[in-house]
Amino acid sequence: MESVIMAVNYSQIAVGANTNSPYGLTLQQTITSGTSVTIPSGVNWVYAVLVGGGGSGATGGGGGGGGVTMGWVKTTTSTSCVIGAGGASGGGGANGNQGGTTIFGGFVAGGGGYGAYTTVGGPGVNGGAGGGGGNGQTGGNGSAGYSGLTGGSGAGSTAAPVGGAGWGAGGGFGNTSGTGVGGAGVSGGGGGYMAAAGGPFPNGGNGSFTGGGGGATTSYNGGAGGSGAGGAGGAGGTAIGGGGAGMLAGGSVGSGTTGGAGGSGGGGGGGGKVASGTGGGVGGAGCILLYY
Amino acid sequence: MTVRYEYKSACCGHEYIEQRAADEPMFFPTCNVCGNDDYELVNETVLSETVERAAGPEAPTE
Repeated sequence: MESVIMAVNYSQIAVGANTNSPYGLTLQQTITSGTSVTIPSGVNWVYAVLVGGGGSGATGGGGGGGGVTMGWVKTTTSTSCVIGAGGASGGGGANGNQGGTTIFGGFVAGGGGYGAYTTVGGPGVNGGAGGGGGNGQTGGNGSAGYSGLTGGSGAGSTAAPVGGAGWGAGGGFGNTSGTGVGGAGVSGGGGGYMAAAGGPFPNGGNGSFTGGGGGATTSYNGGAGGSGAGGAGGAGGTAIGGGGAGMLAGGSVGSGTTGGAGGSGGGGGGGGKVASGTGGGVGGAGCILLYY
Repeated sequence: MTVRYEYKSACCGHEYIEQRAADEPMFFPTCNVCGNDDYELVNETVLSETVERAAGPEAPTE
């Protein structure tokens, strides 16, 4: 039998300078707005990373990071998409809002859960992380990812105030002692409101892609936002939480008594000052990154 | 307003697209292939006058 040896030219296999690129692929398009994406003729499959909108912070708890889904998508020259909006501010003395859902090529990435004022934190959906709990309340549950990997549970007691780790992590417990830090995951959970004096602080959970918003406190520094692929979370301010980082940008520091905004690409918003009844920061809008 | 921005890098000629709201900053200004230069804008197309994003459900009130 005659054998055939194929020559492979490895110099043709380029590695993108963008360190977030899947190996051998290059980031070709970043989509944060619109209802369809134009794909060049001849490109029939692309590798897509979808991120849902981050949840907004409450007067109290921080919002959860937006969900993340990734995979190969069969495309046409005009492929429809939906970009999930970041959770809008819920206003003073109220919960935040859940982030919107991002859709592309049959894949879905859900929004992060809202931070809570006096209730349980909002749950993440379709991979999103849970929001931080209001005073004395459980954090929101994180959601399982598209792959089926489980989400983290929201923290439900002073004895165990940290949100559970998971694809979408759980939110931190709203606490009078201890520290309701958001859980870590692909998407980080929101920090819970914290009424006790002194640190450590109710930081948002770190995410490998999106970070949770930091929780508010009574009068000292609030929790910092969790880190994400876009950088660091925003630092906590006096009695307010910082915004979590998104896929595309870091989180913001809050302004005055309003919590910091989540970074673009699904960062969760930070909690607003409870004593003044101010709303939390908005969540970062979702995005789609296309590699081919 | 949603705009499709088409860029090209001077270093290696990589063509890259960002489709975003007009008031948003560029997310990845440096060449994604070799990282040596920033992208230069070569074309922009207005796709719609409104930013189209799907809001999540409202949070429950107290």
